[in-house]
Amino acid sequence: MLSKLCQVYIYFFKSLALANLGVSFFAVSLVQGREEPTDWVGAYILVVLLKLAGYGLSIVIEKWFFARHRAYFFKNMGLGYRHIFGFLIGIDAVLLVLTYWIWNTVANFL
Amino acid sequence: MEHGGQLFVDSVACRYGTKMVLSGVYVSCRRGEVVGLLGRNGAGKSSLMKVIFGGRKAFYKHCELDGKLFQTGYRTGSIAYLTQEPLVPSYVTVRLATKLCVGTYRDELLAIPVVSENLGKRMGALSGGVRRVVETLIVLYSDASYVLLDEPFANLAPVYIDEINNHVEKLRNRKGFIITDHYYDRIWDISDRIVLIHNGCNYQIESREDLYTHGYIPSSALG
Repeated sequence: MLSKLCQVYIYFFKSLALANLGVSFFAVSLVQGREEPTDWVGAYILVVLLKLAGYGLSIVIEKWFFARHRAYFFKNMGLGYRHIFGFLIGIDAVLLVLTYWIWNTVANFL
Repeated sequence: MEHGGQLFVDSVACRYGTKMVLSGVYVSCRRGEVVGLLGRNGAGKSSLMKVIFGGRKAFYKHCELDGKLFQTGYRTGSIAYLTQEPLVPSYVTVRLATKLCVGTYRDELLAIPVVSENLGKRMGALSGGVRRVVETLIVLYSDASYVLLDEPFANLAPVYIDEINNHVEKLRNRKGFIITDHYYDRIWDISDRIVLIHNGCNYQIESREDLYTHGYIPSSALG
């Protein structure tokens, strides 16, 4: 199932993944660039809202516009939308941590 | 009661709004068996298949696969379903669709001319008939042990209908099939037994006279 989820992620949800990666970069840049943490509360809330809006919008678009065309295709692979979006959110969390780690490593190296 | 070695679905109740479409419907299919599912338009054939596959919620259902209870057919990985509408998105190539949906029998599938000749093409670039055949073959050759085919012959040339029937015959000893279509002659030829959905219930059909009795075919069709 994991390989199928990866394939679905790569072939069908590239744009969503890239958009979320962009938001993750923004979040990491906020954390790294801060001087007075209390000044950045609004920005952190913005990041959380962007993530929530991204996923909420994607789920709505998927269910309203794409489900008729590809929901059964995914289901024939044994994958429901719960699996797919659960996987997307999980991968996104991993990418966020990785982005933070890579940023720190590169910053320390420089 | 044990129902091992088969797809067993019982007491299916399904409704659209206040209209009860299926009420206490029972259907079973063993591996190696082809079950023909007939019924008028709107009788609930597609709804029954969707309920089994997990694409539609039922008011009530009891489903067993090889003796084990299940709620959502597609999650078992042992049930494949060909929808009435195009199954594979238009922008997906035949190669990618076969890669994603077919495992064990992929070499056999790729040896079929109508598939191999169109591997690089997007599904949307194929003619309606060829697209239907390719989608049907992808579902037939998937790893699932039970295959639900919803109107696989719709808009197909007779030569393609024969081709699909030949592949069902070829795979018959490995899988179980539930097929519904309005080409009832074709369904009759290929099926081991026929089930008719009528008035929300199922009827075991023994002869063509039964189909006439239940109002599925006109008297002129009895010959």
